[in-house]
Amino acid sequence: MIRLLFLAFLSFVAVAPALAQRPVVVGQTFLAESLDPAQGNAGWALQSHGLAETLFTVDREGRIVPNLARNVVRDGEAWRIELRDDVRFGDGSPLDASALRDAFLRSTAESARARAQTGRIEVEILGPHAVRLRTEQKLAAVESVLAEFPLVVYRVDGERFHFTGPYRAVEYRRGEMLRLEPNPHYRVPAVRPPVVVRRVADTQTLALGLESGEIDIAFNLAVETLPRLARRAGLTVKSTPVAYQYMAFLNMARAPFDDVRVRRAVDLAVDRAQLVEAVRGGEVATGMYPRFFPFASPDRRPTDPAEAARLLDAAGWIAGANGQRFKDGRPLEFVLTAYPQRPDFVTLAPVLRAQLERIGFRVRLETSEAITPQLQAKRFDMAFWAMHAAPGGDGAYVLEQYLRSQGPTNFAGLADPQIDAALDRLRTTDAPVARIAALRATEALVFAQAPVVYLMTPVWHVGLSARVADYVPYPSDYYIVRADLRARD
Amino acid sequence: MALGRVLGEFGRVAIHLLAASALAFLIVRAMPGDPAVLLLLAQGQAADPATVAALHAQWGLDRSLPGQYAAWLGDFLAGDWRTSFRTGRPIFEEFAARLPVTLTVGLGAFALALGVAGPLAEAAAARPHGWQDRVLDAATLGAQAVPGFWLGCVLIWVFAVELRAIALFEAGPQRYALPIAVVALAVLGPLAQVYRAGLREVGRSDYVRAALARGASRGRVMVQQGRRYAALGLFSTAAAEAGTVVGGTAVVETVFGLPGIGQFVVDSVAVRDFFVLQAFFMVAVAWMLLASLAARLARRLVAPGAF
Repeated sequence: MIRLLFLAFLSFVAVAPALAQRPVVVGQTFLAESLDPAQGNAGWALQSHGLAETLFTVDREGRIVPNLARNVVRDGEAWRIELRDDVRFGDGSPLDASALRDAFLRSTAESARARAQTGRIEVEILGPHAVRLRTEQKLAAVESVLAEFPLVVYRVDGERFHFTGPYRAVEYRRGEMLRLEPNPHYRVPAVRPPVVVRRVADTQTLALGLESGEIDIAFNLAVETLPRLARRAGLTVKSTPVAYQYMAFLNMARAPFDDVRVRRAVDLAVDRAQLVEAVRGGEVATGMYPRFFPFASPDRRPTDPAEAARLLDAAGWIAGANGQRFKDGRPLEFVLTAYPQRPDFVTLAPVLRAQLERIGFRVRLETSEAITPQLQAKRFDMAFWAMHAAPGGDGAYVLEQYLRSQGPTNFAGLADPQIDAALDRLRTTDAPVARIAALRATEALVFAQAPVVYLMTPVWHVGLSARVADYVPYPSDYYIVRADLRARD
Repeated sequence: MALGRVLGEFGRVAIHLLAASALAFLIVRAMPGDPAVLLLLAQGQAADPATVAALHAQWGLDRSLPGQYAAWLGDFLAGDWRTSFRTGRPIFEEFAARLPVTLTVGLGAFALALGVAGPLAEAAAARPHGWQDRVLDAATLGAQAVPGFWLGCVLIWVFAVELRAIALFEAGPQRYALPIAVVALAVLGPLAQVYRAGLREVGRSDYVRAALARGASRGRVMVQQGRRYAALGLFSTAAAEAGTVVGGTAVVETVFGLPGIGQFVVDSVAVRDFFVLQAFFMVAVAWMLLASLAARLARRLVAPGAF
C-alpha cells in the first residue's frame, strides 16, 4: 500500500509541472508581424499580446490613466514626464529616463506612424525617472498620444526587444504563433499561466478550434457561430461593447443631402434598436463615441419618423400617392453603400432601407470592395463606416479627422465654421472636465448639421473554455492578454 | 543546335517574365485605393496629407509611373524585392519564410492527386461504367461543386471537433494532412479525367483492338499500350494545374490557419501592398513557366518522336 502511494506521489510530481505549464491558448485573427514595435503596426499587436506597454493607458471605462508614467505636466512648450520607479523590462533591467529616451527616439526615427503622432521629438533627461519631452507638433491631450501604440516603451538589445508588460516572448513564428511566459520582473507579482497567442485568420476555424478544445480564448467570434457554441458544454461566450462605432456618412456635396433638413430627417427616421436586433447585439448610439467613454453624449439618438416627415415636407419633398416623395418632378432617392469587410453592414443595409422608405425615400443598395477610396473621392450618397472612436482615449482625434473642414477624412464634406472653432478651442482645453464639456458641445453642433448618422456600438463575442471562464474582455482589442489573466488548473 | 534550343527557351522565358512584370505593375496600380491612406486608416492613424505624402516618398510612390516601374524592375532583378508596406520587412524574407508552408501544401496535394489519379483513371478506363469510373466522375463533380472553404470547415469539424482525431494547430506533419487532402481533391478530377480520356482514346485504336482480338486482357493492354500516349495529355494538364501549388492554397491556408504565402497575399490585397502583390505575381508567373517547361521536357522524354 505504501509503495503504491509512493508511486502515485512520484507520478503526481512528474505530471504536475506539465499540468501547471499548460498554456492558455488565445485564438485571434491578428498576430504581431514583428517583435520590433517600430515596424508597421506591431506596437499595437504587442500591446494586445501582453508584452508592450505605454506611459498612459485607457481603462475599462474609457478613461486615460497613468501606466508606466506617474504623471505628465505642461512645462512651457514642452511636457515634463515622471516615470514610475518600479518598472523593469523582461530582462530585468530598469525602465529609467535614459531607456525611455532611447525608445522614443528610435520609434520616431524609424516609424512614420510614431512621427505622425508627434513630429520630430527631443527628450531631455531631467533625472533618473524624469524627462522633458518636446514635440514638433503641438499637442493638447498629450496623455492620449502617450497612450497610443506608436509610442510603446521598449529596450533594444542587439536583435532582441524587451518590454515591460506582464509577459515576455519565448517563441515567435511569424504569421502563426507567439509563445509567452510570465515576466518575472513585472511590477505586480502573481501566478500567471503561460500563454500561446495563435493567429487564426478565419472566424469559422476560430470557433471550431474553441470547440475542439485547442483554443481557450477565441477573440471576436462570428455571430453565426454563437448558437452552435451555446449548445456545447463547458464553453462560455461573453459579449462586450467595443470602442468601435458604426455610422453612415451623408455626402453633403450631392442632392438630396446638400439640404440639412433632409439629413436631419434621415437621422430621425433611423430606428437604431431595430439595427441592434438585426445584428443580434450592440447598443444604440448616443453619438460618435460608445457610451462607456466619459465624454460620450449621454442620451440615445432619437427616433421620430413623424418629425422626419415634417422636415422633408418643409424641404419641399412631397409624398405622392404611393408614399414616395418628389420635388420638382425629381424622386427622393439615393444609393446606400455597404462594404463586405464589415459583414454587419450588409445585414444592416436592407433594414435601414426599409426604415427610410417608410418616410418616402427610395433607396438603392450597393456594396463596395474598396470603400475608403470611394469615400475619399466623394463617390457616394450615404455610406456605412466603422472606426475606433477614441484610439488613445481622447475624443478629439476622430472629430479632427472626420469633421473638421480640412480634415483628412472629411468624407461628408462638412465645412462648418462653428464646428471648426469648437475644435480649435478643444486644442487648447487641457482640463479633463472642461474637455468633456467641450467635446459634448462640439458634438451637439455636429448633431445639428447631421453630416453623419450615428447608428450603434457593436459588440464583440469572446468564446471561453472552462479554464478561463472568469476572463472579462476589455472593450478594445488593444488589451487581450493582460496582467489579470488566470487559468483554473 | 541543342544550345540554340536552350537559349531560345531562355529567351522565351525572359520575354514572358518581362511582359508579366509590366502586366503585374499595371494591374496592381489600377486597383482602387491609396495604400498609404488604407494602411493608416486600418491602424487608426491620422491619414493627414503630410503623413500620406511622407509615406509616398518613403515608398517611392511620388515618382512618375514609368519611373516607378523601371526602378522596381531594376531592384527586383537585382534581388531587392523591397519591403512590405504592411509589415515593414523585406518581401523576399517574408516569402522565403512562408514558402515552405505553401510548398508543403501545394506540392503535397499535387503529389497525392497524381498518385491517386493514375491508378483511378486506369481502373476507370479499363471498366467503363464500373465503380471506379463512377467514383472518378463523382470526385470530379464534387470537387467542382463543393467550395474548398466549406470542405475544409467540415473536415475540421469531423476530425478535430467530433472525433478529436487530429490537433488542428499542433506543429508537425499531421497538421498538413487535411489541407493537402482538400487541395488534392480539387486537382485530382482534371488530372484523372484527362488521363482516362487518353487511355480510352488508345483503347479505340486499331492496335489495341488487334491485341484484344489476340486474347489479351483489356486492362493489361490499356496499361501497357496506353500509358505512354495518355501521359502526354496528363503532363499538359498537370502543367496547367501547377498553378494550384502557388496560387491555389490561399483558401486552405486561411481555413487551417497555416502561415503560407497565400494568406500573406490575401492580407496584402486589403491594404494594397503594391510590392508584395507585384512580387507574388512574378513568382506565380515564373512558377507556371517552369511547370510548362517541365511538362514539355517530360513529353519529349516520354515520346521523343512526337514533337
